[in-house]
Amino acid sequence: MSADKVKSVKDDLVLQHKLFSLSRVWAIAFNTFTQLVRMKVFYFMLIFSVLIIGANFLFLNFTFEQELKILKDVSFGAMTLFASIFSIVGTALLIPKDIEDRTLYTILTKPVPRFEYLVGKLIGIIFLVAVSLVLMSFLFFAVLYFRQHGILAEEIKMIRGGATDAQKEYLKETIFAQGVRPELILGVLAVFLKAAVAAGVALVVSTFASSTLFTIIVSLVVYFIGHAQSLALEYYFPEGQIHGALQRFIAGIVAVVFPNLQMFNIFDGLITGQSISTTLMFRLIGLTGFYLTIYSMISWILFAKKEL
Amino acid sequence: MDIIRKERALSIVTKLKSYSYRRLLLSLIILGGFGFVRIPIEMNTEKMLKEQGFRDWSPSMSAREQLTQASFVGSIGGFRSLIASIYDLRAHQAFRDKDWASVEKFRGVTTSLQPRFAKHWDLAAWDLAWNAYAYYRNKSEWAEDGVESWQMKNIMMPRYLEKGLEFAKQGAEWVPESYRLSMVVADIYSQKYNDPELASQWYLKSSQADDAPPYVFRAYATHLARCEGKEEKAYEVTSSLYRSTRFGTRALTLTVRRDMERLEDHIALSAANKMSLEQLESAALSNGSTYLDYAKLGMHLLEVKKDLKATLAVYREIVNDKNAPLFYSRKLLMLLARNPANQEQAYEALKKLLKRSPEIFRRQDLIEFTKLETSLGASKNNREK
Repeated sequence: MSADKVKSVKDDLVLQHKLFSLSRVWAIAFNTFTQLVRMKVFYFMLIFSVLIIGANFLFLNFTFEQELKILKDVSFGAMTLFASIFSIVGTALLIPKDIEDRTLYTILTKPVPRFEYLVGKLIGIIFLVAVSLVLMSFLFFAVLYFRQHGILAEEIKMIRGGATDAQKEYLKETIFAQGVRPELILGVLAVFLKAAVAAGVALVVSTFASSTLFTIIVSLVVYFIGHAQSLALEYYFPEGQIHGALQRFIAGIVAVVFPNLQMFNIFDGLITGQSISTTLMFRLIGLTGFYLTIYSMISWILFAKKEL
Repeated sequence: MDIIRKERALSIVTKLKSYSYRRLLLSLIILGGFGFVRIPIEMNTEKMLKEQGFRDWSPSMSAREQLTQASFVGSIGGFRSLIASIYDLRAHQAFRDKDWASVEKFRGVTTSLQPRFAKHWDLAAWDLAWNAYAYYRNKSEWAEDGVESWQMKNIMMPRYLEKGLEFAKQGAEWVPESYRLSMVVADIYSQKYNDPELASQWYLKSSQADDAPPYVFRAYATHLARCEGKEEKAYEVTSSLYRSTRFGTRALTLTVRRDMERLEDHIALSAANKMSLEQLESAALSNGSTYLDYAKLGMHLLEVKKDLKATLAVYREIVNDKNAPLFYSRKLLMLLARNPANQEQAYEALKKLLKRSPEIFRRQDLIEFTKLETSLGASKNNREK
């Protein structure tokens, strides 16, 4: 082969190789998802089912508001817990496991930029969290739907002499206001957004962490501070009372470094029947996107030249 | 071994060196810059969340004292609603154990964790103002020790009643858009304090909420009707309710009928005592007069002039008015029955009326009717029919 031909083949390869390829990212993401599914993570659905079915049948002596609220509380609590655990533990496990299995070397010796590898891993985790939340929501909404109809039938039956149409309509309106509402989907979305940010944090930590355990612990600490930071700031430095330089410095550091996860806690209100505006929801989605972009960038900066 | 150790140490040093400090610095700068960009956006978002009612709890020292450490951490960590439900269950258990101090404490926690959930306040008020109150009332009745009984009646019962009322009022402040808590306050004033004036004020407030069922406004009308010195206003409300339900689609309730009759009697009697016969006659005969003007005149003739014949003539006019409530027919027949010559005829007419519209007969009317029946010697079978 002549030198010119070799040069032209080389040029062709360089031209064909894109700096960023969505298909490569998707391939990594899908493999990450498959890898996690093979770890039998979906067994958690059994626990979730037992939890919400238990919550459905254990508190039958309460008023319907209490009964439906407990069902929603348990379901949302479990969703938050599982989604957060998946995002933190899953992300913390992936890079060390790839190193241990030597998969990482196979990937990185191919023309796959490290940034794509990281983004692919993050998307894979987020995809897993999304799928698990969809499954949990499906079960939760089904149980809530059947329960609200069951309660309605019980309440109508309890009215002496049979309920009038107006009474039936009133009961239906009152019971269903505490049952399946489209706003609850926004609550699930908020749980997902929070888990996505937690995955981003874990990804940053895992790029410089020396062990999986370290990543999990640090990420959990950040997760907790992320919930408490806005409240702590509000508590220690009430509005307009940050006077001292040290106070300002501490408040600033906490607010700048740690993500504000409290912002995503909207399901407490949605459970009790409040509504959230679309603008606010889009803001939360936008902020999550912002967090993930920045965390991916930081992860890449830390991971780009890391000795593996 | 030393060689291996040296190599390992070297490898760590190499790794650390290769890990560029510039990259670490750059990461921190990006993180900081990002922080400064997002903080104003987040503060704005928090403000919006507050405006939309999603920031109704903040972890103050009192909240920390009320909650266990795990619950406090859970509440901060996004499980506030779940923790509130757990405390709700604890309150229920305390209620079953009749441990009212714990009920009060746990209900306080649930309401402070989720103050915008009306049911928490409702249950807190119910447990204290009704359940704890009734518990101590029963206990005081059975107590053998006089001092203990006195303590329960004069200390425990009022204390829990006040606590329940306080919960209901705080709830009404937190959830003003719901009718429920204002109604609970009104119920406490009505059933426990026997204060129809305050009860009517709260029922009115409750009835103005969008989700208020129609019976709340009726409760307002009923309580207003019981307020001394507010009969005019009460009549205005009750008569509008009477007309809207009588000629509307909803059924007329017994309470509205009774209140309407009582208030019309009060107004008629008051006018009968204050005004002269000439004034009442000119009012009744003037253009635009109503059956109530005739009722005032009738009342004057009956109570002041003691003229039964003239009264009957006036009541006949009232009964012919389509707008007059049906109870005037009963009044007319009862008046007719006062004359022994008309008793038989009045009795038959009353019997038909009772069969057709039993709701317009009050307890005292039924007693009168039975007396009339007895005096006429109607058979038992006939009476039963």
